[in-house]
Amino acid sequence: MLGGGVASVAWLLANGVQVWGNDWPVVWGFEMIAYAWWLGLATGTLFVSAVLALTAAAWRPMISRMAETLAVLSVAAAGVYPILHLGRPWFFYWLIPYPNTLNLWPQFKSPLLWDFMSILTVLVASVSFWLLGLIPDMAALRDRAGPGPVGQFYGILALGFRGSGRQWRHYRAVYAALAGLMIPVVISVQSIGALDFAGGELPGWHTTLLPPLYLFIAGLQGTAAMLVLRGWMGGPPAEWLSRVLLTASFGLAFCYGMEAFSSLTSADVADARVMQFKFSGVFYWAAIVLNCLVPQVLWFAPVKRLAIPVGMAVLVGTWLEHYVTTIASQSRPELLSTWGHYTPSFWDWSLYGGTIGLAATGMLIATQLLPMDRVWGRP
Amino acid sequence: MILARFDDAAARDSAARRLAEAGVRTCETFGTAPPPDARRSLVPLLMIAFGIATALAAFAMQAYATTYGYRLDIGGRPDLFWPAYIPFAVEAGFLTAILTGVVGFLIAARMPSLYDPVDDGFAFPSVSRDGWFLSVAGKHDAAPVRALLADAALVEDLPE
Repeated sequence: MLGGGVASVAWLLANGVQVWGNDWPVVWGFEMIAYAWWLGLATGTLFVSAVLALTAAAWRPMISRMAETLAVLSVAAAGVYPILHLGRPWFFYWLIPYPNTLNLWPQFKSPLLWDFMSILTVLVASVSFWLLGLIPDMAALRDRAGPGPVGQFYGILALGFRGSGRQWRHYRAVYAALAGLMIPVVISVQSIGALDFAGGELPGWHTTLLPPLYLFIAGLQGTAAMLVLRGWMGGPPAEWLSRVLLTASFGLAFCYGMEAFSSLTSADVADARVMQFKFSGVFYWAAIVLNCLVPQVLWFAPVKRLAIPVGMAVLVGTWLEHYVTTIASQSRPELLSTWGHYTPSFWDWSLYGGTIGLAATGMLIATQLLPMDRVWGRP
Repeated sequence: MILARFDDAAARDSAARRLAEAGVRTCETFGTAPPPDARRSLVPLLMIAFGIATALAAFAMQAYATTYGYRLDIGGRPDLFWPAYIPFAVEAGFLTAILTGVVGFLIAARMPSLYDPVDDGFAFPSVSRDGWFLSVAGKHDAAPVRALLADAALVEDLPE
């Protein structure tokens, strides 16, 4: 899958965005759906890890290491799209306010520029939090490996951590500060991702409901992904994860209700048309079932063995939600003569598969090379 | 350098207190957990300071760019449209705070340091498992220091 993704990128760079299914009026297709989905996964897993760090839960280490690793890989997968979907991706650096001979500045009033900064921030945040958390465990592996190339490899990654009083004093303070900082980063990044849509004028997009809706989706995705990973790695589903997932599910259900109520009762005919278009599609109802109804099985203790299928169902449901949000509004803009439809192309699917391959390959490599549980301090 | 290994954290911390009372200021503790009486770190304060400063600077940069550097009529909004500056400024502040934390930690903890004299200690690799160590660096009379480390399980002399 990863190889297919690399081929897709090469084909895209050679032939342009025309190889995707994007066409008027749906000019944002899979690239925005996949970007929003991966970003939700990244911020959701980062949120899970940060909250576990702040609450110092005893069962935290394994879940948080997997969450942080998945967050880094998800940000990498998400970050591929905003650059590639530019018509001339090699000019992406024009978004940076650097001194230039043309005296040009970026357009700071655009949510798309805020998004550039937010992706950069969540990338640095997830990598920093992940690496800082790894340092003591790298030192432990260094000590266990002894002299030799393996010990040297882990020794370099450990950066000389020896558990000294000075190192612990600063490590504990900075790690706690970073964990606390992750919460507002997650909220701001996911909200700005939603503002990419809400900042536009399209009916169905231009609503203040979108940022909290995306936050609930991120909570849903993060906890669902951790339920799936924890189930695969062995171990009972964490009660805490199930509760957070159910809370996010209820929040999302509220958003669905408010979206339908406000669209159908407002005087904006275009809003109502978009809502009716969503009602007429299978994906909308499938998203409601997968995101709001399926998670309810987690209330029943024996059924918690189904945590993996429930988590997978939620991940598919959140993808469908992003699909509906992205495509429906563009397909039914305010001007009736511009109504259209969207069909993803082969290269849309292959690039999305490539990002899944990127995350899966990275996760497999990480589980081989890095400890997925706390090693420092274990006899 | 003298490196002493103890069986538990309490014995190590007790020895550290005795050394401090005796005027030995160049001792360092090592262990699997932070020492209980560790002083606060200033790095989080630096994170807050640099983060706020960067957010304000990013706000000012946007104000300059939209009112003087490169004026654009965006949806009829005024040139100085401060609500639009907040997301970029906030993200820039978060980014700087995070980088300050990481770099500040490395500087304060004097890392990376791929070699330290304590690495030559025979039992020192156990520090990441269940070892509690105390090192005394610098020139001290060995006998009085060793006397203060009488309850250590192992005492070594290491070159500095």
